Amino acid sequence: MRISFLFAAPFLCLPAFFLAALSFSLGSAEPATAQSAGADSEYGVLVDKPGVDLTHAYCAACHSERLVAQQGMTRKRWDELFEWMVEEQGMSEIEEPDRTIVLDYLAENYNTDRPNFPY
Amino acid sequence: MKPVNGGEGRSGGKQGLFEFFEKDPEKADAAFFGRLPNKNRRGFLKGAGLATMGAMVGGSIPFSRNMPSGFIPVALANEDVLTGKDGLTLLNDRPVNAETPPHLLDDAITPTPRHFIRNNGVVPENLDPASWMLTVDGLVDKPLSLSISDLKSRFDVVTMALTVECGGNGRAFFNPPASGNQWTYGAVACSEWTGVRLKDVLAAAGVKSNVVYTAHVGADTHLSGDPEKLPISRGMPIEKAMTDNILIAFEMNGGALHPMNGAPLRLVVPGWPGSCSQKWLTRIYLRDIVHDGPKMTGTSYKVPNRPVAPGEEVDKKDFNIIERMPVKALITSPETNTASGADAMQVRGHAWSGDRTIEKVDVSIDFGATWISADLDAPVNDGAWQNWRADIKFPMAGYYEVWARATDSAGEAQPFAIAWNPKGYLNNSMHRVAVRIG
Repeated sequence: MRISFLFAAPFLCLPAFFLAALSFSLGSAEPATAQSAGADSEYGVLVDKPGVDLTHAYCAACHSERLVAQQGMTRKRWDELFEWMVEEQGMSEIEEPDRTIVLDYLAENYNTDRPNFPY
Repeated sequence: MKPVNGGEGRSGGKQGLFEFFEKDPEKADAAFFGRLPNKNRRGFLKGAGLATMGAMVGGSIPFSRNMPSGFIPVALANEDVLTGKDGLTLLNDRPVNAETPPHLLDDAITPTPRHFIRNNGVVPENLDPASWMLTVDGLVDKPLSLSISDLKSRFDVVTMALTVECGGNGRAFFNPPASGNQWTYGAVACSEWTGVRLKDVLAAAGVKSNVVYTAHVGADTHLSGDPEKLPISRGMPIEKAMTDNILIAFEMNGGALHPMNGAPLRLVVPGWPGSCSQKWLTRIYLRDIVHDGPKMTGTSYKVPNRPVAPGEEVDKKDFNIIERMPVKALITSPETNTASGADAMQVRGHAWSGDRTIEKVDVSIDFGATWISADLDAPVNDGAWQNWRADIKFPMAGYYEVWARATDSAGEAQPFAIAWNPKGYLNNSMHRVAVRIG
């Protein structure tokens, strides 16, 4: 569900499909999208791509993986967010090689182009 | 996963799991998790047991060494976090964050099951109103320790309809995306709250002359499990705190507060970000500096001190704390993507503006080219939202968008686009619903 026109249009003209996409109902019995693993998979709503297992294990320790799946950030911003979580929220540092694997996964699947949002 | 005595496995075995642990916690731990308690009866999870428990709760357990033996992780209790709520969209289940679809906010007063939930941490376990205590201290003449009965007997009890909106309502539409819960339209509500005025309680304690800010504390606990960390502790300028429409509330729509909405006692600060309205309220203290608790620091609830371009990097020192929420309207009927055979319909909803009233609401069905004036009600009291409605006719069959634009008492109207800021706050651009006619 790529929404590539958004970058060129600061004035969000909301065609029907976007409105429909944003009326998603996450707690209901709607079927999972083709890309999302679905709320019942072992990785929750995180997309099942390489690196998902480590990402889920580290992220879901404290908070739902849904918080991760909602975001759309550059690799640099994800990295900064890790620092913030370590400094202010009690997260342990993610050591290498895991840190790179997790950052790769997030930069690939939860970047600003939001290929997997809404889930 | 090892079968549990008395259960048929994970989904059917919840009853069996509790009984199994209840009978002999140490034996259950050893059998189930391979866990042996040390002599302090704190859990000591052996490697495989920790991995098993971790897999079952869906992640590692940073504070596993503090878990007492026989402890069953809350995650396995598998309760429905939206119990007592009706139709909310779940954005996040830990911490719980859930918003209301606009068409379910059609009531003039938001019923308790339709009030959104925005949690920062874990709901406290003991929500007993009979034993709940509120401390008022810091820079006061006389610190107070008050039960809910004390509040009722010592102070004027009032009921007010008050608008609460999350600072990040509308964040989902930011481009580039802003980090945080991706609220669309539904992190707003206007329920009836019964309680005492904050200003009356502070006056009874006696506000010292050097006070500049309040600091609020609640009983919710940090997600990490660290008992030393507060999930959130915000405050407000003392001038704001001493205004008339801020309540310490112990009733919601004439009944008990919903546990997710801060039972049994909370602050309600209408028109300012919902994070000022501390839930599970246990303490208010007065300070001679701007409060610096969690979610007051860094860039939380702050916006840049100048207009910035979408995606711009802004230095941390160039942010200001958000105070009032901006003018906004919500269309609660029709529901978006409605199809209708009629050529006319009533459009209605609510409008609000922090610390101000609404001057007018206009509706457009032609992408803003022309506007129809809506009928606008006065607020039922200061701090409540205002209801509006308009009868509109569609000139022909086809696809339309109904837009609503509110203008407030300071002459400010809703903008046509988002004023981007790094954390995705204060999106008060217009609500637009899709309608197919014919």
